[in-house]
Amino acid sequence: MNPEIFVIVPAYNEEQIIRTTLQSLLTTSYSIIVVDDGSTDRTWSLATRFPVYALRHPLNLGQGAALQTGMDFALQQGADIIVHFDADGQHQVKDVETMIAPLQAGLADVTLGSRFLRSEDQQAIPMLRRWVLKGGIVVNGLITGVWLSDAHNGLRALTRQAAQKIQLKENRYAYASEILSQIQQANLRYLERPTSILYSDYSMAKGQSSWNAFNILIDLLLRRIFQ
Amino acid sequence: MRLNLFVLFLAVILWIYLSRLRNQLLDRMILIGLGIVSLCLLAMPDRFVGLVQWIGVERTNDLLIYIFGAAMGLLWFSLYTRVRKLEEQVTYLVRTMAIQQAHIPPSDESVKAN
Repeated sequence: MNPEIFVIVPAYNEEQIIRTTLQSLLTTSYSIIVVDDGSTDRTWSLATRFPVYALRHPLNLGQGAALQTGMDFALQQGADIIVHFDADGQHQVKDVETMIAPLQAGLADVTLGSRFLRSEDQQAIPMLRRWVLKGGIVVNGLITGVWLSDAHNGLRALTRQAAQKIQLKENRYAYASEILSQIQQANLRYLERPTSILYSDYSMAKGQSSWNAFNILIDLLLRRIFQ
Repeated sequence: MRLNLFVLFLAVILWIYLSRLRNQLLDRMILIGLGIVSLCLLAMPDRFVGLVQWIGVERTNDLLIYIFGAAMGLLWFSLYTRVRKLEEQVTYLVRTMAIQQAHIPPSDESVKAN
């Protein structure tokens, strides 16, 4: 196992896909941390059969909370680089290297995946999702001051120093905007890197609904008022 | 015009209070204060006609509705912040348990044992 690069895989009721996701990640030398976010299916028992670190939330808290748990644990284990990687099979292992390279070269503290940097990746996004993401880009920019080409892409990588400055308090999907605010506040250098997302029936059914964008917006505004 | 100024004044006070001064004791005192004012307006509407009209509201009942709205808003904010705080405490607890009870891959366990 590579002791320096840790890939965090937050998982909630992913028994159908978790094996495939872990098998693909285990072809690399990265250390893998699965954070089972209170699954009620066999996700936990399947994950613990693999040579990975497995952490379990006794309650379902949300993806943001699972990632923060994974980051706290990775830092304790001495991680130099931390990668966020979705469990639902949408992310490609080959893209992890693309995310890590600028960090290793010292070009950035954080790299963020984007589906909008290559036309072929953009074409793969379902139409409704594409428009919701475009709206999300504007909302993210207005709320966080960070203007990116993509919104809520779950693939990102952070150096140890960056991860130490990030403390996610949004347990659910609004964390993806919160992390941008914290990147901005901590003056971290960030870069976007192209990523291809594999939209399958499973991942579309499992992923967040486009309507959830409204919930995210409300969470962000309330957090703004009460921070 | 005077009503607009009054609403604006209340909104500014509410904003400062929500963003900087909030605490449970003050929440309760404000809610009780609003309740007492409402009861007075209900019990003796004629006595407050002058005050109500000075504020710019036509009738005492209208002012009651505004006070009710403000009280409900404050109550909602108060409950929301309390739920957020509880959620943060639960998250901390769950996270600590998850990290303490982490499943370590066999190779790492042998390294630790050595």
